[in-house]
Amino acid sequence: MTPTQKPNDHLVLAILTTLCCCMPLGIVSIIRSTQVNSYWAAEKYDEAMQASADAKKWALIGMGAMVIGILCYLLFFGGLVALGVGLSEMDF
Amino acid sequence: MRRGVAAAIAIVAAVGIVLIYRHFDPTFSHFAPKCPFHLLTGYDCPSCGIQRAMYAALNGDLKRAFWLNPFVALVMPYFLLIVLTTFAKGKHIENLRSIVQHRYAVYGYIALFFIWWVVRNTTWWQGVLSQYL
Repeated sequence: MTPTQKPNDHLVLAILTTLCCCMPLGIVSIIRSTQVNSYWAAEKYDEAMQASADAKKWALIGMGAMVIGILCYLLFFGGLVALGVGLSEMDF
Repeated sequence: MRRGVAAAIAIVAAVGIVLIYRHFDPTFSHFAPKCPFHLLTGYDCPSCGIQRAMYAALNGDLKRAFWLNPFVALVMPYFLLIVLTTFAKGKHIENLRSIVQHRYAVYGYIALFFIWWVVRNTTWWQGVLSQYL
C-alpha cells in the first residue's frame, strides 16, 4: 500500500524548538524533518512516516522540557518570595 | 478545526508575549525565565538575549534589540518564510517552498546556528558588542 499524501514534516515546530532554548532536541527534530522529503521523494514511504513522527516527537519533547523548566523555575522563585514575605512579617 | 485551534493558540501567545515584554524588563526581573545553558556554564546559548531584545524592540530601541541577538534578528524573516510556505497555498508559494524549505537551506540554518554559538562566546565578539550596547 502506498500512502497518497506526504506526511507533515513539522519543520516550523522543529525550528521554533531550536529558537526556544531547547536546542539539542530541536536540531534532532530538524534533521528528521528534512529526511521526510528525501525519503518521500525516494518512495520510501515507511521511512518518511517514521521521520515525520520522530520530527514531531523531538520538537514536542524539547518544548515540553522548556515549559517544565520554566514552571520549576517560577515555582522555585515563587517559593523563595513567599518564604521571604512570610519571614519578614514575623515578629522576632 | 485543528488548524483553527493552533492559530488561536499562536495568536493568544503572541499577544501575551507582546503585553508581557512591553512592560517587564527581563534584565531586572527575577521571574523572567533564565537560560539553563547560561546558568550552568556561564556561556551564552544561540538564543540568549531574545527576551531582552523583545523588551528593547517593544520599547522602541531597535538598534539595541538587533545587537542583543543579531542571529535571531536575521533568521526571523527566514522563519516567517517557512511558516508562510507551510500554511499558505498557491503556485508561487510552491516555488518559494522548494527554495526556502530545501534541505540545503535548512542545513545552512543549522550550520549558522552552531557557528553563531561559538562566535558569540569569543572575546572578539564581546569586543565588537561593546561598541553597540
